[in-house]
Amino acid sequence: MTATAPGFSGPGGRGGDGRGSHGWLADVRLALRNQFNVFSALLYREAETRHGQSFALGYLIAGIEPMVIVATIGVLFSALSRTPPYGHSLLLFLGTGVFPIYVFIHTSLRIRQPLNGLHQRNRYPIERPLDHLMVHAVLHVVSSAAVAVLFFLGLYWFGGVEAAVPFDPITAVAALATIFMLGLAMGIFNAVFARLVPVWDVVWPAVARASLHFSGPYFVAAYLPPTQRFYFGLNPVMHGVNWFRSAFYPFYPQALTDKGYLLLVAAVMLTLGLLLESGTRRLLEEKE
Amino acid sequence: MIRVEGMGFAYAKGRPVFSGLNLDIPTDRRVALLGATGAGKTTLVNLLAGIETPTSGRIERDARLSFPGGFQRGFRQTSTVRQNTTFAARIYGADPEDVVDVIGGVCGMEADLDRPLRDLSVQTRIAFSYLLTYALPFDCYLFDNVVGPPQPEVRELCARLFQARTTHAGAILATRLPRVAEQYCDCGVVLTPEGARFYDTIADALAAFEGVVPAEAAAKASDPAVRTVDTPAVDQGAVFP
Repeated sequence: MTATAPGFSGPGGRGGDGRGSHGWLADVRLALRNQFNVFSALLYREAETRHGQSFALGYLIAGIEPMVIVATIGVLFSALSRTPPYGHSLLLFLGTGVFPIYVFIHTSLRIRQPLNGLHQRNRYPIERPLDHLMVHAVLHVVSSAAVAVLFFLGLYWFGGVEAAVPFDPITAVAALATIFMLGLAMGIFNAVFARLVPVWDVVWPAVARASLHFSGPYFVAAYLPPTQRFYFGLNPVMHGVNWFRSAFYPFYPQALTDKGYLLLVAAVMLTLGLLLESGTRRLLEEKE
Repeated sequence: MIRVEGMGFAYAKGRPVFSGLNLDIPTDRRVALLGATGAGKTTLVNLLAGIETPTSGRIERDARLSFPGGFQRGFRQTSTVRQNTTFAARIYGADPEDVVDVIGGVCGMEADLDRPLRDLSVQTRIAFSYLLTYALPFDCYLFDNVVGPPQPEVRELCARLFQARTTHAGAILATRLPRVAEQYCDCGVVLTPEGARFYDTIADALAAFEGVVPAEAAAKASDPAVRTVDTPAVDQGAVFP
């Protein structure tokens, strides 16, 4: 019964040391190592392919969309011979608006796959939904950052716009990170909500893309009449845009930059999304 | 050791499969999970593997358990055999190159290593799924009904790999066939609607199992993996006019 197969001594592996070692410290170490294994394996695989395409094609191509928007509005404004609403460079003004907005839009749309029902069934039991969520978030951050750096450096080098390099890079990163968190929160919420109410998959992309125009890519929010300003101020992304712009323009009007509001909405949506995910997990597994 | 404490489980539509199940299963021995058809063997294996989540109670695992042998849901059909192997190795903390070597060398899949899974024949894919199970290092291997695919040559290889792996690791094999249990295991758990009980020797487990399942039913049942279905020759015209 205990004959060894000739020529077979499988990879010994680091598997054995989890057994017999009691105590919470060993448990935590094992859990952390498992977490690291899953995370790195997923990162490797997802970075290799996205929808069967390479990382560059699958992720970075998404960066074309905000560039097209910037170019379109830029051409339109030039044709109408409008001056930039603030600062000297029209492209920089549009870019500082469109890029953070697209960090929000794309994150809120793209985080869906890790929480998709079919994807959740087609996994090894060791992979948990949040592992996939984190990996997608990381790859999304990396690709968004790459596209943003490319755009602003391009504007600086080829467009000769000196203000394209933020005078306060930390503020720029902090603002983008907060907007990203808002997008992530919205994305988690959307992913779960769309499984409960499938039509949400059609509604949200339309709402998200339409919200572009209300988040101030081509106007200065603080210059709005006070009566309208309140309603525009309800949109958390707008606060993020104003915050991001303050990293490029030292004296950018800050009447509509409530960082606390942005963080609050992000925190509330993140809590709501995660609660919804864990609360409906069993229901959704059985429904699909 | 796997400790099942007051575990209950029910599928969405249907009566509970388990309620308040208490059971200790050793993970360093070869355990047969004996039960009649519909007793919940597959469900229990899936619960142990973590594919299903208990509705109540808990499962404590003190060892690294495998996915059920022949698990295919982790595969990416567009990725090659090598990529799928590498991913599985990484995720379970094994050295990818070692595992790829086993799949290519011992398992004889060298020629298929760089072909996408979707280009393989169904049989090869199933064979790969079992070979991958053995190629990864676990503390305890889970099997539902069979330890390898039906093709004779791969089946024999899998039986050898089973023996090789279980010299150092444990295994839990769900089956309703005394012959299979006797061949692969040395202790057993008998699963009845009333609950589950562990027996220290396979003989005791089988004796208890015989008491639960009518003898003639057990005798009639043959190994599903090698069973040849003897259907009477049917005139095609009679079925498809």
